[in-house]
Amino acid sequence: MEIFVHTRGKDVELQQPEPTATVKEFAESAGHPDAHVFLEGEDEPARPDVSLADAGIGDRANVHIGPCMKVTVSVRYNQQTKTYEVPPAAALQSIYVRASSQGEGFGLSDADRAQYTLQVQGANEQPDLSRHVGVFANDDCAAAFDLVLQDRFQG
Amino acid sequence: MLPDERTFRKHLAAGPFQAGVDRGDWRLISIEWPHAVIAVTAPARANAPREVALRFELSGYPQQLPTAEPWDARANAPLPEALWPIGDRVSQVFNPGWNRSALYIPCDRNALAGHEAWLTQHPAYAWNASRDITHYLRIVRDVLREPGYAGVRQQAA
Repeated sequence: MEIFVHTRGKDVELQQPEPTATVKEFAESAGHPDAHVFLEGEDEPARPDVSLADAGIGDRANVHIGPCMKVTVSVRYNQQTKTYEVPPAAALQSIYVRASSQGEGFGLSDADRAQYTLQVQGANEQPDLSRHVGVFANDDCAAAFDLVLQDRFQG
Repeated sequence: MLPDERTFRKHLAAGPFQAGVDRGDWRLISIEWPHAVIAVTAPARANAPREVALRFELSGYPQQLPTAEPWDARANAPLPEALWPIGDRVSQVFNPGWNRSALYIPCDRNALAGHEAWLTQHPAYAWNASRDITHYLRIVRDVLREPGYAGVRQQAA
């Protein structure tokens, strides 16, 4: 079986655990014995004592392994900041949708929504929105982004 | 197997490329070293195919930058100009009037030659030996996803 593993500060890795492994054994084999294992999109971590299958972690599932139970995400735009509390296995795409929305976000137009993205604060990195927010969390389980125009090269 | 091909195949088996396959972003079609054909998924447009195949030349990978040309995977031949993607910035990247054998992006070996200013103007797009082929594929995928993408030349004319 193969599982996509997202961890802090690293690009996604494809690992091959034994299907019978428990969640805890899987975390240990991935080098994070005390970390939580979250299935992408889930609000709660998988129970450590159950098998991967019983935790709903199937072949080629995406999981996040890390120390945070929640990540406090702040998004800055036009000198305002909005904050969301999300599980570490939330994809950045879901943060972008919230931050650009009319309701709990900055209310970007449809045209702007197609041209903006998230950029890591203090860096020029505009990460792929399929990555997990926990990848960008600091030691305090916080991550900060700016809502910016996508960097577009010209000739 | 030489180190460049070994590294490339290792990258194909790794998380970033395989995650893109699972998302439906791209798929490997063939490898005949030093070439590899990979198809990048394109959004639906009238009378246009749902993917754009690229034939990469990968000698010296990853120390040397890749370069790629649009490819007709069925005919195993360069893509006829009438079938090149078109529209807004897509037409800058897929520009047969500039070069039929490369894409006009900062991480393409042939495009970078003469555009070294890109390295400082757009460092996030630059290639280095720690990159893998998904860096190039993501740039192409994202360009094709832009609203200005209008399909292929013969339908858009």
